[in-house]
Amino acid sequence: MINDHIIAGCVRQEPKAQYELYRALYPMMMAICTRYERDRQEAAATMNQGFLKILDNIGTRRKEVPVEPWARRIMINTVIDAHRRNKERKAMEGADIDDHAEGTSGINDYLKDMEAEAFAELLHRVPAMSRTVFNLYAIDGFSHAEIAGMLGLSEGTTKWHVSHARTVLRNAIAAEAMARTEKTVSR
Amino acid sequence: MKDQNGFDELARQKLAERDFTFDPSHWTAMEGLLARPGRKRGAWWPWLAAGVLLVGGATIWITAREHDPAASVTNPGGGPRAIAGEVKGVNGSAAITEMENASYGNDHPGTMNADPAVPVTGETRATAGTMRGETSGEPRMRTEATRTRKEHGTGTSDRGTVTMQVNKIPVSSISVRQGEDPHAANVRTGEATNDVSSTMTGPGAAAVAGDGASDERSNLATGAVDPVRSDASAAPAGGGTHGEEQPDSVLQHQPPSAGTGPVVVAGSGDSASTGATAAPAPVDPVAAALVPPAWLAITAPYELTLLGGAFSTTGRYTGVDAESWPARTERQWTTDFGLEAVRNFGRHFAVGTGVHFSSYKERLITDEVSRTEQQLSTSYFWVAHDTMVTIVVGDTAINGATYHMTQLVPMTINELGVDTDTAYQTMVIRQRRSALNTVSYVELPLLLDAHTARGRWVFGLRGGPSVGLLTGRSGSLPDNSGEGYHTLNEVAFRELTVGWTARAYVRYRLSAGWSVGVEPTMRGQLFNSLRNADLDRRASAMGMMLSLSYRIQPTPQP
Repeated sequence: MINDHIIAGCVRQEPKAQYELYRALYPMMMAICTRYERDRQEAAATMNQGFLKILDNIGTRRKEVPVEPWARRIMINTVIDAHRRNKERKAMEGADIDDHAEGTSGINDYLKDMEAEAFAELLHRVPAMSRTVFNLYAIDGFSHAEIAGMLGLSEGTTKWHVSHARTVLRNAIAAEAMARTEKTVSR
Repeated sequence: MKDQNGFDELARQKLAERDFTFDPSHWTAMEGLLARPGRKRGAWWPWLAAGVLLVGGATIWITAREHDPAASVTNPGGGPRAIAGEVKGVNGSAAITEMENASYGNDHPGTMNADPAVPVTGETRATAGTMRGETSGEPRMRTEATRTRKEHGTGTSDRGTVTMQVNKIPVSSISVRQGEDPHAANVRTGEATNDVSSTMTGPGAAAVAGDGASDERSNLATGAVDPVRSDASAAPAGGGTHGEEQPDSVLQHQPPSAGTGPVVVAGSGDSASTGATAAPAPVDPVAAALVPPAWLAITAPYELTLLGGAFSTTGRYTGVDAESWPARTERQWTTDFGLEAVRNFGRHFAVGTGVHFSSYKERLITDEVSRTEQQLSTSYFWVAHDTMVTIVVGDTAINGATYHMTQLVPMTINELGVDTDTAYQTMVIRQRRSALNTVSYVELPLLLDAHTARGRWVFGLRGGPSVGLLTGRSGSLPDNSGEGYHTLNEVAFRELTVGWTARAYVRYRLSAGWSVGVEPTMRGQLFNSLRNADLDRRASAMGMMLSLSYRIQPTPQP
């Protein structure tokens, strides 16, 4: 658990305290980064960059602010920065996704039964910008106005990206469900 | 955009179910980022403090130097100065004047003697004034003095020209003997006259052009000297001095020791002219306040200092063993006292040593370590199932067909059951402990000291390496096996450790010998104080000491 002793040690740049904090925040940081980054190694690199920012700024954190939400926000900002840098490259990702079909009524039921990792894999089929906006809006709870400010888009565009991400995800889940059903029948 | 059918919430929940196990390779990469050069920003404030002290000390020192009588020609109080003057007689005689100055404190009244045979050269020159005599055939003297700031006294004489080059002359009196010249002049200056230039010419009338420069508060000394009479009395006109206004009271208030004595230029002939008196330089009250009184003059090179104070200390544990400790340290207060002796070299530097009785104390709080064991036990048991079993009891043939005759028999079937019991047992293998660890040393520092004085106040920096001799220890450390504790007496400590000490001090001089001071201090250990290569302990301390210093007074010479 993160306690004041660890925080104070990080302020003093003690390696042991830094390690403790890293271990404590690792699941949260990794969860964020893998949502935004398709490649796991790339996600780890982004996570380390974010943790570096956390260490650099931990001395300026107000005490009344809980560490985890504060670190979470820094990590999201880091991911967004990385996203901006790699905007052009990411734009090509997920272009092969076919979003022709609207989701079926059983999508949500199937989603409930899905493995979490399988859903995370499906999330990466969404184009980069739409995935980023969907993550920010649906998972991290930012408003469209905030997202528009962060990414330099209009609110209308962010809404479109969210809608597009949902569509792609539903189609992907439907395709996944259909493939599984076919496999069961053939047995 | 509305969340249709709760899809977003489902997605959030699904993603929250993910579990990420810690990957050590990611931390390895993180360590690489942390170790990048230029990223370490910790412990900046000791360097800032040292820098501020250094810059402050240098500023004070430079400022003090500007007011230092020994370092500047422009010192109002006069100071120890090398004096050289040159007096040339035109009429076939050359007189070179050498002057010794009065010291800062005054014990050495300066004199200037003109000896035709001994040339002496001055160190610093700047032009000052000239006296020219128009009468040929008479001894002619021209006096020149040079310095950066100059003042001119002018007089004329038909007897000759006297040229004097005087440098840095806080003289109390200057005597010039002119070889063949029957005329002589006495010039008195109320202020230590650093640059004196006077020209006396003519046997009957002397016009004096001189540099009555004494220092930055130069006086334009202009005096018309009366014709030199056979009794060698040159009476200045308009005050007859190198300074225009020369209140005698100033002369009386300024002790000769302060370098303000009269400058007398006396001819060696049978006549002498006297009466030219330079005006005293006005006393700068600020500068005067900075100059300590004579009784505070630092004359003793050796100084003893008794120190005592309180320190906030801590110990830092690193290494493989410490990694296994869920422990932290808290600073603790301790006391320190010691005695130091230094020898001063010059006005600003000293070297010395001392002995300090120091302790490093910290509270080591070790969290509890427990081990949970899971025991699995398998048990077998019968499970009875009551049932009816159909048993064939016989056969019968009816119309050529064979039929089996059965009978239902009640029966109990026992099924072998298997069960696994899990038992958890938690053992505390190391209790939580808050141990107060104290390690004491006798520390012998090599002290390098730089200081400066401002009146009664002395500002300085002192520090250097030190050797610590282990004298005692108490407390405990967690055992490296992960269980229990060791007392510090069981832990192998180095008998000798190398450390450092640094402090700034401000002292107030109560008298020529005694002073008291306040000395913020930092000290620490440079290397591991333990013999264990897997556990590194380095202690450090910061605090404040009060000091009482005594400068050993020199034995009075009979």
